[in-house]
Amino acid sequence: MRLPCPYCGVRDAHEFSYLGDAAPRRPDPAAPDAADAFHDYVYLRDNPAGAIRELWYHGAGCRRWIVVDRDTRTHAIAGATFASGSASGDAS
Amino acid sequence: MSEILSDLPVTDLLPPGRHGRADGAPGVIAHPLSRLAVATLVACKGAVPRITEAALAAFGVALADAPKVSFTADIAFIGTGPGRWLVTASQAPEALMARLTDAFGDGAALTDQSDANLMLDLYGPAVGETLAKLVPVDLDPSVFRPGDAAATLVALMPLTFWQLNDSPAYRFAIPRSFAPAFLRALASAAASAGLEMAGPARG
Repeated sequence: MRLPCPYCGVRDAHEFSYLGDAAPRRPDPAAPDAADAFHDYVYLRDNPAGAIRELWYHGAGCRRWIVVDRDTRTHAIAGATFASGSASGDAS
Repeated sequence: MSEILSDLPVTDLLPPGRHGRADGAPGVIAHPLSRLAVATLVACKGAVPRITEAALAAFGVALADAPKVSFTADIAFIGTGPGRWLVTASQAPEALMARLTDAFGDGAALTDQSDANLMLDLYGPAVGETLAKLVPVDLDPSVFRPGDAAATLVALMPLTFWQLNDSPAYRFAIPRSFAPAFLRALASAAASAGLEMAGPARG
């Protein structure tokens, strides 16, 4: 499988480290239901058969986190963007 | 072919001379560069436009924030990541650092890397078929051209390389501690074509 890094171009998946689903957002630790929210954030993941947005780290190339749109059934890659949203120079 | 790799300690650099196929002209020439100053330039958060302007003003370089080489006659900026460059110049490391500090001031993190890498030029008629065994990047002229750069893995060793011209010749920046292993991998990959290891390798 090859991933289209927004900076480096198409590269072999071995250059990347996989993190997982890009959807979970860190809950507000000050919220009254923080314990339940953190349980879901840490442990619960969807397991879709189809399109998923997931985080990969290009450790062997530009050393940036990217979000890849991948179909879990076919490994078809629809695209990739920088995870930070900003293209340049902003450490994240 | 040469049996050099059977006897060479794994921690030693490949000695200068001919390796692999001994007859005819060498297919690959490896030329270590010992007088090249190298530094990393990393733009501070949000400072890429300022760095780009400063590069144009101070060096006359149209700095590309991309895996490309932006260069003039005496300095080259090689893109290694967003807002990050490897800078090379044929001068003393202290002189390069002074020029970069003057140009970019507090808009970037600058680190002298002159001792960090084995800088190696590779060229010759068989350089393409040899690198096809080493580099997991498509080097076909329709995809990878002079001025293109890549940070990648060669035999699990992280390095940066870029294309110098369309003969083709490539320049590799190999982390110093990986130099013996990289040169062994190169000697193996180039054995069928014959490798000429030039000059004293520093690493």
